[in-house]
Amino acid sequence: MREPHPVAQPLRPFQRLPFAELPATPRRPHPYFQTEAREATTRSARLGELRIHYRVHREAGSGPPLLLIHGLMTTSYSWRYVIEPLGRHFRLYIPDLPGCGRSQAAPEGAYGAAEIAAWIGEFQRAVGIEGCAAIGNSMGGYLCMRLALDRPEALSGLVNIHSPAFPDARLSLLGGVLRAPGARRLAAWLARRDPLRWAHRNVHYYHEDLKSIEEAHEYGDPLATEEGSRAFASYLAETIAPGAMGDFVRDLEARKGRGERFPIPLLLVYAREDPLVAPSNGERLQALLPGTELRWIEESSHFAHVDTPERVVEAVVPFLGGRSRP
Amino acid sequence: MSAGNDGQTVQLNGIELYYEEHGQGEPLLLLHGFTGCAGDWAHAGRDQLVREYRLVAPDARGHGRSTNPERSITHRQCALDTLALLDHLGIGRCKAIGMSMGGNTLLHMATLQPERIEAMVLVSATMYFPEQARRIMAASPMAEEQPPEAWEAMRRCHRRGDEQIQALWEQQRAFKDSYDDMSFTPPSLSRITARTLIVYGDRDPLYPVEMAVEMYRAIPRSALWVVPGGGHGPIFLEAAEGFARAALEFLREG
Repeated sequence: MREPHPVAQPLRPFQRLPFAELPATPRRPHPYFQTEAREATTRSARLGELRIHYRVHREAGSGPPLLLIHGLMTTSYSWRYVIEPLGRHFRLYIPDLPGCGRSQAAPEGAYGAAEIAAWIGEFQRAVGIEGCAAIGNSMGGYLCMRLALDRPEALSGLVNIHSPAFPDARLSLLGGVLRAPGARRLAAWLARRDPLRWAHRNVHYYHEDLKSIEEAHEYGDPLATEEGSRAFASYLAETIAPGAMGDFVRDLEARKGRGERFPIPLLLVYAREDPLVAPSNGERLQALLPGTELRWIEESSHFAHVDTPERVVEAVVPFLGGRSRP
Repeated sequence: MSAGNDGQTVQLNGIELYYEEHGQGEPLLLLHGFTGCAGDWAHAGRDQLVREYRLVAPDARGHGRSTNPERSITHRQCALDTLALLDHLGIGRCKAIGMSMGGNTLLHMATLQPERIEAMVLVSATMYFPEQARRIMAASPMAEEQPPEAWEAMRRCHRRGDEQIQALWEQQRAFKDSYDDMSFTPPSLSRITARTLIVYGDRDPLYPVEMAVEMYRAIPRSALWVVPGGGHGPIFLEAAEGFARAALEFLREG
């Protein structure tokens, strides 16, 4: 007989609820499904023509456009708790990256960090928001930094919420494993086998009681298909490949050596703890980017915009120059 | 942050951008021409425009009180600067009037972020620099060859010293070799969603009137007004009142 689950006992930070106990919908409501669902077609040399699903919030003239780029394992749904407060200052454009959520997948081999970063610029062009500001989370933040380095005119400013930037032991090991023949197919199969539990296990919040079956579906359903699970494996194998990340770091080091600042205004936002993405990424990035501000968020995870959305909005809005006007 | 006159400055895109705001109501962006400044609009109908709109008039980078450490100017960069100004002011969408360089800047803005511009008036703008324009640019006198009256006129506008003025004259000549900055095609202009009024003089020495027709055919919701006997920027002084009235009427519709 199972030990009775202590009711009304607060979870410890990062303590996971058993999958069977997830509520159907999140205990904290959100307006994600009230945002406008749209499709755009992006065209790029390496990724080809892709049908991209994205959400729009507060379209008609309420503020400058702001692009939100999610990270690995997640989709545009990730931004659900900042939609409303950011929407008071900005028009939000929230795509599902290729092969994520409801967006079409790119061909295998087209998932290099440089390619996906360039694709973000393609998405801007497709929806008419070139030169806008962006917030990127985790892998999304890393990709936006690469875009800004390649083409500074693409983004007017960037907030990077807790991205990896430095190849670490775990990433190097993963990269090595995935280079083995058949490894990608295996990784895809593993994700596909039990996608809801996979999503539940591999997303870590400080406040795990924010999770729900709804979220497990949002993140797990795309993995249930061959296309989605292969895309996921491609992101692991190609986009966050430690080799390319090393090049990125060396580029930043070289720029620092030449006394160059990051080409666009950049705000780093990092949580004090996270099981997947080391907070030291934040400090190390700041050390490479003189003049860049680093805001620490307490009691949060690398999904700080989910765990502590108010603190993120409070840091981000003044930086991006948000100002409500009648 | 304030600086001289009734304007303010904001740091963006590596420069200090100076801008003035006058009046109340919906914002109306006013973008001056090359070697001009926000003050020019006083001679192009500002008094009428301010009765209906909150005018937002920046000095473009390298002009007036705005800085430009790079010294060179592209219309595309001016568009990114102006979008950043709108971001700073929290303006999601607005109407605009652009004169020559200002009009070229609006073409970039309206294709980069079509939703930002609701309606616009383009005066003596161009899709690209035709040969006749390049010949005039190539013949631009250098700073040393400019007469004292030219220097005086420039100093009234540009307040950051003679170096700033010299850089502008250098850029004026350098436009003769600029091919990528202004290189719009009918397909690229077809993305513009703003209602657009194209204003041209029929004897503009820089741009043949056929350019106005080409833009009119390419921009989906456009209207065309060719000013008989008008030159480049046929909207100043005696023409100002008529221009302001027509612009206000066009911007009001819809």
